[in-house]
Amino acid sequence: MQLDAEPLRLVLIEAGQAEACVGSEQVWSAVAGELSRAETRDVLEHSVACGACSRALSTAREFHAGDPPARRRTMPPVLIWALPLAALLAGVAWLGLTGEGPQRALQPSTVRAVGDGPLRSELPEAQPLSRDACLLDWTDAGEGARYSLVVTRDDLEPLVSVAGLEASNYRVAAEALAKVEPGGGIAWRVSARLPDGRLVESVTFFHRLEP
Amino acid sequence: MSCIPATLEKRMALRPDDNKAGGSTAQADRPAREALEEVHDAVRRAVRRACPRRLTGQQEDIVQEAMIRVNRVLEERPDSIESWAYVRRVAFNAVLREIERADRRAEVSLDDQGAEPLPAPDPVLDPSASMALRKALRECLAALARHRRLAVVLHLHGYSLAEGAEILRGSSKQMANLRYRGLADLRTCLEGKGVTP
Repeated sequence: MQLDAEPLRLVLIEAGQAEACVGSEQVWSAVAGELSRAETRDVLEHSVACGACSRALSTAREFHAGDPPARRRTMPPVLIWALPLAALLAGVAWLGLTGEGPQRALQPSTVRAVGDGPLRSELPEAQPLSRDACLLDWTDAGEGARYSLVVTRDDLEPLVSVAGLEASNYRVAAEALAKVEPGGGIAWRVSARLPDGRLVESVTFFHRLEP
Repeated sequence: MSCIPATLEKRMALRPDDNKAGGSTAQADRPAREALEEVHDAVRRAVRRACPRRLTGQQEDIVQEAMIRVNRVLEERPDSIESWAYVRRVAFNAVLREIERADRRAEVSLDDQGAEPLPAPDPVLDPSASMALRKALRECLAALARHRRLAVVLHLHGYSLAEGAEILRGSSKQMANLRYRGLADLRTCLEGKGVTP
């Protein structure tokens, strides 16, 4: 199933107004870049549940089409320096009081963040891939790891899904890429099941095929 | 059809409001007619984007009503057309008000149908089908991790990766990843609910 944005957006704007609506003026300000990032994110969150604000968002976007990048409201310059400094001083004071070093304060995580995972592409993303020799290559997760790979078009149309790979690379058949136009984009990600049962995942990598 | 009144055509130029974000200097020193035609185009585009599907047949009426409303405000406050940002804001509000009005009229006319036979259900216009899809979509969006949800919402509303990255305070690459994963999660969730948009 391909997930087109437009039908979903239309569903969102069909809905009625939510209770405690932030109001169209706030939506306008968010789109115009007059709000802080945090306030803008709150408006976007609200629009999911509020059809009126989704309509306002779609409308405001049309009136701001072609505007220069928003000059978003930011913290006063003095706070940019003062807040991290205050946090640093508070941390130093806390360490002095408790005697705990950073090793105790920061326990090693048992689950690695997706973006920091050990699985990285060995292919530079700027390099277009050959349709006839499309070899996806990633870092080895260690002996005994089994890899699963998902390749899609950049609009999420599935192309390849394989599991149980022992090698840390996979050649995508040219037939599987038939649905990608010359110069079109593909996205892929890989996960590895480690011998101790843990699952680690890569971020998603994007490439263009050769024209 | 132009909705610009003759009184406004006498104005030779619109000045941008430089104090407001979005005020475009490219609008300066342009004939009022040209600038207002641009507003008219933006109104038309906005109505096309923001009009619920049940009002598709009334889009041109909504555009005309919105432009009449814009003109009325500008004639009552002629000084306000000095500000390009203000004109856009007036037009923005006019579009939203006219869509609301058309929606209310549509509800009333549905109520007036009485015992007339209803047409066959349309998967797009059928309220129950639309409501089920909306409910599923909201639940699935709510179930996404916050940043993935925001990335998806930005994508649905046509924000570019660069624009989204600015709002989420990340790189375009991170934004692409969030969007991709968010859409994949959303697709899985909708499929799990047996819903196809």
